[in-house]
Amino acid sequence: MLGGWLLLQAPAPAAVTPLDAWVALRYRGAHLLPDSASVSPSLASSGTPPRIETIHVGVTMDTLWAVHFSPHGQLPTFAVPSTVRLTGPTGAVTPLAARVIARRPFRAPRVPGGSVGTPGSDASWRQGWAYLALLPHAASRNATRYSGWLLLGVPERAPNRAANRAANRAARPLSVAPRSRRSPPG
Amino acid sequence: MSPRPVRVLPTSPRWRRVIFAAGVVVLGGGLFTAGVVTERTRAAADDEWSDARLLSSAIDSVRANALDSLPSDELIRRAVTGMLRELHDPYAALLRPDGYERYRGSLQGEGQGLGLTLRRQHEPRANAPDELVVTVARVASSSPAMVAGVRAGDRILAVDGVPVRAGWGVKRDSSAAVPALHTLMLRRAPLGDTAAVVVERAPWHMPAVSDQGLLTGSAGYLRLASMSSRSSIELEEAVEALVQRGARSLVLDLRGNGGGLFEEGVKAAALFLPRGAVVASLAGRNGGAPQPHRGKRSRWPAMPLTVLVDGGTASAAEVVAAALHDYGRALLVGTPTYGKGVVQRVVTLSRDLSLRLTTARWLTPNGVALDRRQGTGAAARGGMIPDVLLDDASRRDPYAAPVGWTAASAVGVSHAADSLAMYALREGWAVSPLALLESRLRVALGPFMPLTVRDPVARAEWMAVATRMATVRVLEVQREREALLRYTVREDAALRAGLDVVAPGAIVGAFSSQ
Repeated sequence: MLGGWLLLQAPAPAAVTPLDAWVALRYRGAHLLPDSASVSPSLASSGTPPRIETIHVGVTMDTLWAVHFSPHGQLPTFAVPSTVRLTGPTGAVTPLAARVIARRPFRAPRVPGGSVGTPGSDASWRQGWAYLALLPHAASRNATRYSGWLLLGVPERAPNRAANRAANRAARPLSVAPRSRRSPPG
Repeated sequence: MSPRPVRVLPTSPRWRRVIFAAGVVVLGGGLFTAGVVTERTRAAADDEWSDARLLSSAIDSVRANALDSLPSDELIRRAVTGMLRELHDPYAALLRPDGYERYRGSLQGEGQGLGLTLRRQHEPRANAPDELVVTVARVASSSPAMVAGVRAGDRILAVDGVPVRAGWGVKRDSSAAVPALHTLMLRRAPLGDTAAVVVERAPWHMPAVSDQGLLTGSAGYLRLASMSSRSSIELEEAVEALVQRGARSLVLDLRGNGGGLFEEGVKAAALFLPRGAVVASLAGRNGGAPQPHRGKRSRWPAMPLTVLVDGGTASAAEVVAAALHDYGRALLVGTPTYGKGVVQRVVTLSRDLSLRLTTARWLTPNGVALDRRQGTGAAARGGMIPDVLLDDASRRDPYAAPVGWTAASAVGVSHAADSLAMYALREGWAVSPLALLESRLRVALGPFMPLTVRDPVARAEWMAVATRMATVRVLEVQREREALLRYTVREDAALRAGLDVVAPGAIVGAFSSQ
């Protein structure tokens, strides 16, 4: 009884989104940073646009994971949600449009085990943004070929409610916390 | 006053008897011990000889009685091969003269073949077998092909009078003599004239540093392809050249580097470590303390560094990667390394035969032994896990068509790109700035697009691929190695990720957001 009671009193673990899990698996020692919704994107960011690194082919939607590092990478490139265009590595813009449904700022070490709080420790880290985008699946195209392609922001037009609903459904976090019970076990 | 005499021996008869008896006892004991030791040694030798006689008898018996026997020397070779197999040492081998020469040559950095990197394409033809098109993608520096004047972009039409067609390039009979001279019939780029070039097979040194250049104004790139006898010297010279040109950080590419000499790995890693740092330790079979190995030259102990690795990074290349990682000098980027944590020695048995055996295990500076790789494919375990773990870190041919394209589509886009590239070369289009060349090629490629490509996405993709191929062809023929390197960064996931570490957000190549 006591164990069950204590279990219910323990704070629920934070939800892990697919994007957070992707960053943590990909960059050893990375720190996930809080993303304030008030942070507006900076389309004028320096450097190359966010780059697609991982692609999961789905039944109706293909999922794209993109990353962006820049020397002054405090500002995100895209708002959430927003529409982006896929661009070939050579810069050729395609009509392919994807929907950015999540973003996560993080910092990753530049040397093994980047030090925290020591003088000059900023040089041991680099600031990045990870993005999760959805692309309508097309049976005629193998989406894995878009690995290495770039995402370019496009101005938003009329809000597409159906697309937003689909994006919000897909953006629902994967909870690693056990479902809480309404009453303690007897 | 006279000095007092010193008595060195007792003089009384009783003492003499005691000493004599003790001497007899000691002598008897010594003789007994010597006898026992001699007997044991002889017994052990007898055992060994009896084992050897057993093996000899078995071979004699097989040779004399077996229905399908083999010559005596072949039986002995196969017996040794079986013995090595039972050791479960995947690196042990019985080396015959040609195998030993190849092994020694690879460790010495001796180039194999003519020094050509070829690109093959099968072109489908109506009512006829596919046509094989073989193009020279690259010519190794100081190789026989380079000496003879073969150039990147040349198409090989015939070799020694034999036309290149489907089935060409199949491994020849190893017992056949390799000719010393080869006559290559080439169609030269970009004018399309034909020429016969005679290439003489001769020993040549394959450079350990196969690619190098500045990716940005301050970020250098260097690919170390092997760990042969001069690798550390060549690495030092290449880094020095990049530093002289302004490099302040370095991306060191160890992908596909299968290793070589352990000591070269130690020397190469030491260049980037503090003076006197232990690079690796060797633990032998006797269970003694691991023997530390240090490099003597430390050149750039503080230069920002990233190391690219993949499943082909093994042995001495892993020594470098592990040391730079353990000292916190470099982030590893790519996919898990091979995991060959052992070293081999070659023991000469006779004039014709040598044994290669695993004789020690090497440990990283943190004292970790890289486990021998077990399993294959996705189930494989072992090696070092990179700090930035990528889905795919392999190096790709920048001229390759995307995965999933049909052969006909790939050939079509390749033809268009090649034709335009040759036109651009004949017309003398400027290679620099690269963005301008790329834009000109992209515009000129419009009319080449097949009418069958109607989907807007497919059209955009066709244009992107054709532009890339045409640009690569122009750069290859013009031998613009550094420009080609910068251009292909965008197609190379590991190189991009490595550059993200040393130069976050750097713009490389000709990207321009349109």
